[in-house]
Amino acid sequence: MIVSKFIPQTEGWGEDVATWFNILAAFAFVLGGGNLLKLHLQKISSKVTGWGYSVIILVSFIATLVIGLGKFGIHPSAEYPNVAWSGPTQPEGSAFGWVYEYLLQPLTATMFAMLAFYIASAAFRAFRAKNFEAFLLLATAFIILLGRTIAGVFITSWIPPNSPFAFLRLEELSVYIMQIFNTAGNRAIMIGIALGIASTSLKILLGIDRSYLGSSED
Amino acid sequence: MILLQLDTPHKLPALLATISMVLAGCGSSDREISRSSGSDMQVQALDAPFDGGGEIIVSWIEPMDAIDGLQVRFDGFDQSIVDGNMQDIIPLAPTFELEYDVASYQVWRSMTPDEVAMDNKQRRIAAASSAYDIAYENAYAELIQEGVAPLEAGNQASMEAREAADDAIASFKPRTPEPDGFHYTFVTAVPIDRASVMDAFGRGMRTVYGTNLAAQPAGADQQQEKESITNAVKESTGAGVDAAREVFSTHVNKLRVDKLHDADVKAAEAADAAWTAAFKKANDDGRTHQEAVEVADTASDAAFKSTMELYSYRFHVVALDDSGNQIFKSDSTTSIVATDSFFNGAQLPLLVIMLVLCGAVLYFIVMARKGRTLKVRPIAGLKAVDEAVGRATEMGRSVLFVPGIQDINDIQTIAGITVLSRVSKTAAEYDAKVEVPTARSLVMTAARETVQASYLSAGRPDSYNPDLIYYVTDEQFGYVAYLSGMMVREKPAACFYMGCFFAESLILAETGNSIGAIQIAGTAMPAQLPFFVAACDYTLIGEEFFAASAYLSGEADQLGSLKGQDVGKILVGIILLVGCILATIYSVTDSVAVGEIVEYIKNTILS
Repeated sequence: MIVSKFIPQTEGWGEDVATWFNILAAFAFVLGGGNLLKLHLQKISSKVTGWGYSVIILVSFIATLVIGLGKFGIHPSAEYPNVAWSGPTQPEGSAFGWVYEYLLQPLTATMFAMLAFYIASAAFRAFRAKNFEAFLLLATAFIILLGRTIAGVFITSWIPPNSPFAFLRLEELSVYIMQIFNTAGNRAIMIGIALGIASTSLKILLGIDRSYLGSSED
Repeated sequence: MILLQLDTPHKLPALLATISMVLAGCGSSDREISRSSGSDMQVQALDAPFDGGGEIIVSWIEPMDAIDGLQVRFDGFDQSIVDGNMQDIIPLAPTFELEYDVASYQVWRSMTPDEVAMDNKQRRIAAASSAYDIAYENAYAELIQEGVAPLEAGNQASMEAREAADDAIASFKPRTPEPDGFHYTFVTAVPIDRASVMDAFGRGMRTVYGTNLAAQPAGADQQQEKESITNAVKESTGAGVDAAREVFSTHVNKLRVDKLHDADVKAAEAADAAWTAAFKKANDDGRTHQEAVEVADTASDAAFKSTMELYSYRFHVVALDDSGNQIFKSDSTTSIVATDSFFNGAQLPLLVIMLVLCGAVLYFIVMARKGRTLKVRPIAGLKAVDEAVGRATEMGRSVLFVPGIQDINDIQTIAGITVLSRVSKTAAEYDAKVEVPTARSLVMTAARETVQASYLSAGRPDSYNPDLIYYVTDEQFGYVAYLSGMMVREKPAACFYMGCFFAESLILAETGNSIGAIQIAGTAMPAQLPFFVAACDYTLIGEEFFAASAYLSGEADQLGSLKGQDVGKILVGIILLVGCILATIYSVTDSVAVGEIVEYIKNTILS
C-alpha cells in the first residue's frame, strides 16, 4: 500500500487489500454474533442482575437478523427479475427499511441528542476559573460562544465595521481566535499525530512492537 | 511621450528557444514529443514524465512577429522621488510601460470521441430546454390574454413547448469540427510573463544609463539634472528593449494539462475485452485452441491501437491582445497520448520525507540496541495506569477498557490494544477484573489474545476469563448505550478510553465522571480531545497515545523509535520556519522566484 502511493500501476493494490479486509471482517461478524448469543444466553441462564436486558437484546438481534436475511417486502431487482432475493437490502417500504427508519434511527438520534446535555455539564466543569490558565480558557470560550450568537454581534455592534478597532467586534475576535490560535494548536497536534502514526506503523511493519498480537517476545 | 523600437535579428533567440524546448523534453527520450508545424508560433506537446498518468506538458515560444513589435514606453518620472535624493532616482524613479501585442494565451486541446458525444448531447439538451422555456412563456402569455384559465393555459402551453423542444432537437446541428477534422475544447488561459521581461529591460537599460548619466555636466540645478536624467533614460531605453526581446524570444511558456485519459490504461482494458470476445467467438465458431488464440491476439492488438488513437490529443495555442482579440494562432500539434508513468514525481517530496523519517527511526533503534541511553519525559496519564488499576482492586470493582469504535485496521485501535496489554498485566498482578466490550469482532479477537498473553506473562494464566472481552455491536450509538448502561449498573472504578472515538467520547467520559471512576483517555482524534480533557482525569494527547507502547514497555528498541520521531519534528520545524520566512519575504518583496518556492512548498510538499 505504501508502494501504491508512488507507483501508479500499483494503485489497485490498496483497494484489493481493503476488499480482502472487508471479507475477513464479514466472517468475523459471525464470530461476534456467536459471542453475543453465547454471552447473553449465559446471562439469562444464570439469571444475573439485569438478565431481562439480555432477553431484549436476543429478541431484537434474532428478529432483525430474520427480517434482514429474509428480505421481507423486497421485490426482485429489474436486472434479475426471476431471482427472488435479488432486490436491494434496504429499500423504502421493506420490513428491514421500516426497522431501520422507525426503530434504529430514532434510538440512535436519541443517544446523539443526549450529547447536548453532556456538553453543557462538561463545559460547566471545565470552565471554572480555578487559576490563571483556567481563567484564560474561560475568557476565550466566552468570546467564542458570544461571537457565534446574535447577542455577541449585538453587544459590540457599536464598533464601526470599517474602523481600526473593528477587530474588537466579538464576531471578528471569535473568527480570529478560531482561525489563528485554534488552527495553530490543532496543526501542532496533527503533526505530532502524523509522526506518531508513521513511527508506530514502522514498528509494527518491522515487528518491533507486537504487543497488540498478545506478545512482545521473540 | 517617447516610443522606442529597435530591429533585432531573431535568429539567435530562435535558436536559443529551440534549444530550451529540446531541453524541456530531456529525461524523457523514450516519450513521444508532438510538434506543430508551418506556423510562426511553435507549439510542442510532451507526455509528462513521472506524472502518475494523465498529464501532458504543452510548451510554446512567443510569436516572432510579436517580439519584433515589442516596445517599452517611457512614462516620465515619479515626481516625489525626482524631488528627493538624486541617487535614489537611478534604479526606481523612471516609470515604463510594456507595449506588447500579446496580452495572454489560450491553450486548446482536441476532444476525444466520448467528449464530443457528451458535448453534443449537452448542447442538444440545452437547445431543447431553451426552446421549451421560450415557447412555454410565449404560449402561456398568449393564452392568458385570450382568456384561457391558468391551469388549462399551462397544459396547452406545455404541449406547444414540447413540440418546440422536439423541433429544436430535430433541427439541432452538431458543432462543426475544425479544418483538421477535430473538435477542440478550451483548456486554460496563460498570461504573458511581463515581470521577467521588465526585469530584463531594467537590467539592459541600466548598463547604458549609468554611462550616459556620467557624461552629463556637473553642478547643474534640479531642472537641468532632471533633463539630463531624462535624456539618459531615452538613450538607454533601446538597450533595455534589446534585453527584453532576448528574454521574450528565449522564454518558453509551459502549461501542464492534467486530468486527461491515460490512453495506455484504456487501451489495455479495451485489448483485454477484445481478446476475450474474439477468443470466445473463435471457440464458438469451432476453431482450434491455437487458431482462437491467434485470432484473439490480432483482435487485441487492433483494439489496443485504435483505443490509443481514440484517446490521443492535439493542442494549439492562440495569442490574444488586451481586448481579447485573436492575433496569432499556432497550428495544431500532431496527436499525442498521455500514458501512465512508472513513478509519480508529484509524490517525491513525500518519499524524501518518509525516507528521512523512517531512516531516523531505524537509526535510533539501532543506537538503542547498541546501548545508547535514551530519556523519555514522564507522561502523567501512563504513570497513572498502575494507580487506576490499584484503586479498582482496593475498591473491589472492575476496570473498564474501551478500545474505540474502529476496526483493527485502524492504527489507533492497535495503539489502544498495546495499552490494554499493560493494563491487563497490571490487573493480573493485582488480581483485578478487566472488562473489554468491543465494537468490532476482530478487535475482540485481538484483545483476547493480548489479555491472555498478559495474564500469562504475569504468571496468572488461570485468572484469564475470555468472557470479559466480548463483542457488543458495530452500531456507534448502540455501543454507547450499552457502555453507559453497564457503567451506571456496575460502576467500574477505573475507565480507560484508548482508541478512535467520535461523538461518543463525551457521553462515555461524562458517564464515567458521574459514577466517580478514575478515567484515563488516549486518542488521536483532535476534535474529541477537548471532551476527554474536560471529563477525564488524564488524557494522552495525539502523539503521547502512540508513545504509550514504548513508554510502558521501556524496551530500548521502542524508545529508539520515539527518538526517531523527534527527528521528524525537527524536520517539520525546519520546513515550517523556512516556509514562514519565505512567505514573509514574498509578501514584502513580491518576488516571483520566492513566490514560486512558496507555492511549491504549499501545493506540493505540504499537500
